[in-house]
Amino acid sequence: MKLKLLIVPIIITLMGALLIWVLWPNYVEFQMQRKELKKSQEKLNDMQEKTKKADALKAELQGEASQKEVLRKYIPVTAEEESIIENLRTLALGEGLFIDGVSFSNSDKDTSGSTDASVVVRDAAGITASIVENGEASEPVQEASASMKKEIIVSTEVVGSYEKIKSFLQKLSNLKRFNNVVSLKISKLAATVSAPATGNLQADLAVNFVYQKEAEIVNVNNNIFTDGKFNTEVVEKLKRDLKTDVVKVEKIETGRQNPFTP
Amino acid sequence: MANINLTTSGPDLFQKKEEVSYQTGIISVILMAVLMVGVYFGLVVAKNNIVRDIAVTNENYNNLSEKLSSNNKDIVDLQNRIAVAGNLLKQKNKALDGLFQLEKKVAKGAFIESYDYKNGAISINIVADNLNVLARQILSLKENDVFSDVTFKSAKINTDKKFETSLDLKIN
Repeated sequence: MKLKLLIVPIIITLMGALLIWVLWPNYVEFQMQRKELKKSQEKLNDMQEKTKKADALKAELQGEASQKEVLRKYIPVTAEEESIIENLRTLALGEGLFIDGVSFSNSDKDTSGSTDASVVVRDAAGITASIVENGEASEPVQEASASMKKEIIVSTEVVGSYEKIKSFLQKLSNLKRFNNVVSLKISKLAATVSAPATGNLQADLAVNFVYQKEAEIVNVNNNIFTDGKFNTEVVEKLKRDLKTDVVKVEKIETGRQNPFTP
Repeated sequence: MANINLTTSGPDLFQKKEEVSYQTGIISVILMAVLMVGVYFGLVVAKNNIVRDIAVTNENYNNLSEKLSSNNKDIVDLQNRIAVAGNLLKQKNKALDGLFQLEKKVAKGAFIESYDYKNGAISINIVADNLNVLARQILSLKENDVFSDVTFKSAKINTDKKFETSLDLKIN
């Protein structure tokens, strides 16, 4: 009879213990898993949204191929030294200026200690260009893309009248490929015995050109997938402001029996 | 005198009531225990379902993420170029700006012998017919908003009997 009386309190005590040590921890875990599921679903929804926007951007990109073209002309994928030489030559020739030489070097900003590569080329007009490329610039720019931007400095000397030099510089600054004159020295051409003073000037200029390798890694957290639209203002500004076309380098006939004969 | 037994049914009724309440208590406790066990198994099943749902959701997320990162290099490349181009467009061509501003500020009776621009600093050699022209030339440059820190170094007469001087300026 006494045992009979104790059964109910014992069962209640056992139930209490079950509630505290088994049910409650399971319930807490269940709630945490629900939160985790909710978070996972939100992330999935976000990713689905990004995928939709990416598809729309891709369609836009295919429809507006000129955007890509303008930007790749403004910031090419490679240094395209041959294009720089040809464009400087064409601009100088157009103004009746004489180019005394062209040399390429890495920008002062590109100081990361990577392997250098040095090449010396000579074009048909006798312009010698020594090309030195260095590692990528280490500019403190937020976008990972900016670290892929590389800079090269092109130094050249042109000789001619002030008006021609001025026109050359103006056309160069309006070139559809980015460039910026980082140093410019204009002085009177010294008269020599063989070349008397003509009033011509000599301009020594160093011009900064940039190029940027193609994106290799796609970060899914890139803002473009959240915004879902390109900043077309930049492209419109490039189209509106830059008027000097980039001259394409034509291929030359090759093959010589004796490559050492002039 | 007739005897009336009033106590015989008392203990029985009390015992019965006690029995009923004891049984009710036992049944209630058992029901609660069953309910708790039921809740426990319900939780276990729900947890398993959630774990499965999380795994499916994460797998879908990973698939989409992989698809997004492998198929959209051209989009990111274009976006990167737009960002860099936007910054480059903000750069001023100060070497040219300085030259064109000097065109406007060179006084009559003076001319520039040489112009040297580097890192926002300009160094010019100016030749003036006389010291008066030279002084007014310096004033003209100092009063220009485009230039700052106009520094005069020295002036001397050259072979053409004109005053030659060197000036350092900064372009704003």
